[in-house]
Amino acid sequence: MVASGGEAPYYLPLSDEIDVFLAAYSQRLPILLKGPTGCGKTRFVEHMAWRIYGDDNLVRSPVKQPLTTVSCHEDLSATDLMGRYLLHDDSTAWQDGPLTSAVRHGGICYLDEIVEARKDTTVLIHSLTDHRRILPIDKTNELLEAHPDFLLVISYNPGYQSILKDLKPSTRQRFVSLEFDYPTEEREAEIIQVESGVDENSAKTLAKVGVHIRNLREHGFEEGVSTRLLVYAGSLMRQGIAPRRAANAALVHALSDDGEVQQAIADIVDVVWP
Amino acid sequence: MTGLSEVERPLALFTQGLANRIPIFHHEDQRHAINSSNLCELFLPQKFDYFDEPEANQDAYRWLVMQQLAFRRYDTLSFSIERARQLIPYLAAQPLPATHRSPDLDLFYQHFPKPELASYLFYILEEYRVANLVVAEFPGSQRLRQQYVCTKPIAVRANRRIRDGVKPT
Repeated sequence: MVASGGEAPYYLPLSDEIDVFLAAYSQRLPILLKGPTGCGKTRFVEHMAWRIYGDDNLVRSPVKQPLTTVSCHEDLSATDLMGRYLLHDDSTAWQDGPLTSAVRHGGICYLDEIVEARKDTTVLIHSLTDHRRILPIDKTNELLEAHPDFLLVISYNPGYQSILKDLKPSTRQRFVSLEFDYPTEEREAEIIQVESGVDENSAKTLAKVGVHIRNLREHGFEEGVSTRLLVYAGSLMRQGIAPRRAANAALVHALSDDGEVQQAIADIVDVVWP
Repeated sequence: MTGLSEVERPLALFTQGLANRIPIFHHEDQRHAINSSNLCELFLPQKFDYFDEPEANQDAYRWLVMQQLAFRRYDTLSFSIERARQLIPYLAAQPLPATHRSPDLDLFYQHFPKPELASYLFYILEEYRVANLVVAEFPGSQRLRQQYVCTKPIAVRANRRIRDGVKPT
């Protein structure tokens, strides 16, 4: 959840993604975010929720919960998203799931890594992603019309999905798509510095480490190192951990279990770091 | 002693990380047989016995990899005798050696009265220039450089030539 007041969640735009997102939101077009792990998709959605629901000109009425994030996993079913009857004393009462709640009350519902969830979840969202903007709830015999300020955002990571878990074209073509990738070295250094509080030189060095480690994609870690992990390394350094030790803890062992790959990453850190 | 085969995979990954290209390692004595600048081909000793500790020999392999990548990156291997003759009057005043099919660096050495010495001096200067650039780009490599350079005299290092030639006497 993101409060609509307070300070904006830090996000450094990489391209025109903010403009495209706002344009899509103004038409209530569902949005698909594609990109590798830890490149800033979730932070982007948090930032956009803060922007949109903090601006009276963009929303029809205040919403209680600007952003509902669901981290999808293989056991997540349509019922988990929609809701279920729960026992209350000697009776049962309907409890909205996160998707239903967002559809009913407004706000962004962000389904992170949607293809990880069970197949019935993608069927569920189809009627929310076209002109109907409805959510049929069989169990309550309800045909829920989406709140005017509801927006569906999903993400998926094409990098490590198998063909069995790929997003079907019939689903994919219901969304405006925004592609994400890791930032340039300069921008990544800026992000690391802001996020971890580490000094400028260390942030630049960490960004450089990131560039060289990403050259090793497809050696047990398909996507290279995430910006998130580089920020973690910076955060450890900020707390006084020696740079190589911080990199070892945050990067080397986090990225691979292959001893030789770990050795290569440690060697890269060793020569890049002063 | 440390053999190339013992360290080949982590060394290849290290090289790929730095160069963003998959390297092909050859033994040094294959240098004449295969020579293509289109591939990331590196020529390394089959074994290292400079140091007693295997870690130090692995460091030496890493330094040699960085040095050879730098010979490409910082234009040593794109040396053009034609361009050099345009820029340096002394060279232009010399007749062009007849061995036109030789590499440009070998042609360059042939411009001097003692080509072997020219080759040797060129290696010293070029090694120094490139090593400084490597360390500027990868500050942590200074330790590898010092370990390698300070332990072995230049005459030994110069045996690992940019291109094969007569070893210095």
